[in-house]
Amino acid sequence: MLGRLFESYFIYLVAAATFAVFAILTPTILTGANIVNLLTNAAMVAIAAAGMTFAITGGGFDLSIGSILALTTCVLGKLVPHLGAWGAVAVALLVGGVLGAVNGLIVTKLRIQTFVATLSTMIVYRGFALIYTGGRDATLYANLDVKYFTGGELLGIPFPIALTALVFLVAYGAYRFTPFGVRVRGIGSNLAAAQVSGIPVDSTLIAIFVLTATTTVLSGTLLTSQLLTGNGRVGLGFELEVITATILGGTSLSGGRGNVWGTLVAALLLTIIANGLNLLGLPDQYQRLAKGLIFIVALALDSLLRRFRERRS
Amino acid sequence: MATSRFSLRERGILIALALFWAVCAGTNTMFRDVSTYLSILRESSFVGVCAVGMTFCIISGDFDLSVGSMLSLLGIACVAIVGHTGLFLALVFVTLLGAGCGLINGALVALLRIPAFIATLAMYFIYRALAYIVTNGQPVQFQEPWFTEVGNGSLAGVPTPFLFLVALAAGATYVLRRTPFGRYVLAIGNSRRASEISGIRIARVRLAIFTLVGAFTGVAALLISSRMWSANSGMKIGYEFDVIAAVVLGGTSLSGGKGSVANTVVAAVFFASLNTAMNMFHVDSYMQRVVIGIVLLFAFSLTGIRSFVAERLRLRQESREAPKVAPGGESAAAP
Repeated sequence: MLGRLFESYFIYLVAAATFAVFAILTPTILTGANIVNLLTNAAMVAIAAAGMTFAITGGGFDLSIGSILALTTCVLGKLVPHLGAWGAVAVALLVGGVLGAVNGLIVTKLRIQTFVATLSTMIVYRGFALIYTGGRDATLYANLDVKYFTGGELLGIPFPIALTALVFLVAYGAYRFTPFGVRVRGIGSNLAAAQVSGIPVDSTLIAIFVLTATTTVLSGTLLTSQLLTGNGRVGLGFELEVITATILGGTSLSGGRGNVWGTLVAALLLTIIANGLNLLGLPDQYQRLAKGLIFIVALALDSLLRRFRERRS
Repeated sequence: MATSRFSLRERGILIALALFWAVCAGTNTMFRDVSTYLSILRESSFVGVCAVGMTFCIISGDFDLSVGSMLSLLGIACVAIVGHTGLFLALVFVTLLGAGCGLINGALVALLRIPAFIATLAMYFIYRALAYIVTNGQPVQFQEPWFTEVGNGSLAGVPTPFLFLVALAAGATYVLRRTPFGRYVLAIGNSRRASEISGIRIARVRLAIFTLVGAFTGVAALLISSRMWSANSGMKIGYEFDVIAAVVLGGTSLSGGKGSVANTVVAAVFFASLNTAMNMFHVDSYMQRVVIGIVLLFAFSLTGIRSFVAERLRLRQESREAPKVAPGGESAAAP
């Protein structure tokens, strides 16, 4: 019982401790402006990770989201001047939904493993983003209505935070209480059993990929609003960061066991680390090294916990 | 199903390459010149050498996504020391260093039991960051002719890197087909459970496979840095996809258990031909990515299409034999 509790809430403790350590090392992390900045950055990872939680719980992965993120910034960069901020976001969501459905169709109809399928579409989608913008920046300095997505407020709460809260409430509800959530968990824990028991496996998998793509479009909207630029080269390695957050949050790589709130906290933890290292003046490449190492540690823990659980049962 | 030695399955990529060359030669005069083909062979070696090692990895049912970053790190090490140690020692050193990196990957996968895809994805970032940190983002160069000759020179008209590739591929084929280690690799790919029961020390074999991939990446790093006279922390991003694509296009099954080193080499030549042709026909460089991604998807789906056809044939046969039994439900790919 105690072990179980510790296992579920471990990540919260780690996040709190990390924040405390950085607060002592660089008190700047506590300033109001920095906290809003930190939460905005966390929102970008967290929202995409909410979608990824379903993918990994379902026993799959989506590696193409970094490219979808880049394509989102390009679509917004090109279309906001013509359609306005909300219209362009609607188009971007549509594009993301279609690309996600393509991923899902490739996985289910061509029967390619999700890893490899999304690895290929990762290359193709980034190609689309680069072709669409000709590899150049599409800037939005004259269209400041986009700034609402990071600078504006919804019901008095900064928009990115409100959006994250909304996404996670919906994600938790969907995961816990809807037939969709049950199907995802069923597919993830035992694909063959799910098929035999009549779960519509193909359509559920396609829905999962549409979900990862559209949540990534929401993250991309925040990113575009922050950068005021669309570029086909942004978001390299974004998929790794999102997958790290999901696994660190307690969603098991072997499928079937997800943890929506854990994902949120882990995304926050990763951002605290990045933000703290930044404030301490550590160069970008060292941060990448640190993130890679944290990823390895998270994976090793996950695998050790899994073995521990197997031995106990 | 492939009982004949010359089945379409085993020679498919060779036929595809011959057809592709025929079409290119018919439509572009530059494809009627021997020097074009020699240059294709040279370019194919840089991917091919690493792909030979990766063939073992994919046959055993694993992947190594970190080879591109490892290549950058090893290339930097090679260029940095070759002036002091000479060519032979540099080759030995960079191969051993590669083997060491591979050993780390193998330890994560085989001992800590992290899925290979994820573990090597993390190492992909770590090796690249290390490459950047040791050079501070600056390229390292070494331009003495005795070094650059390895990647750019020819021996009796044949590009030197291709000679490396042929020698390594021949050795690897021997190891895969004629030694106990090769049989273990195939067995693990076929069924890990069965191999374990029959007494194969799986962890040790997988550790050896990843070490092997690292060593081959070391050789590739020497060839590529010699070809470019230099190395840097941003070189060959996406190299791992080229390598894996060559292995898979060569017919090595993604689900493990079968594959051929020779076909991997032919597939590497095919990709080099595709790149050369796209350049000759002035395909936009961004469009080239899309084309390669789609060729990849096609290659990856070959296994799926083949099993789909086989299943349909089986179902048809079954329904003919026992018409009253309803066919089984739709099944999806294992994610």
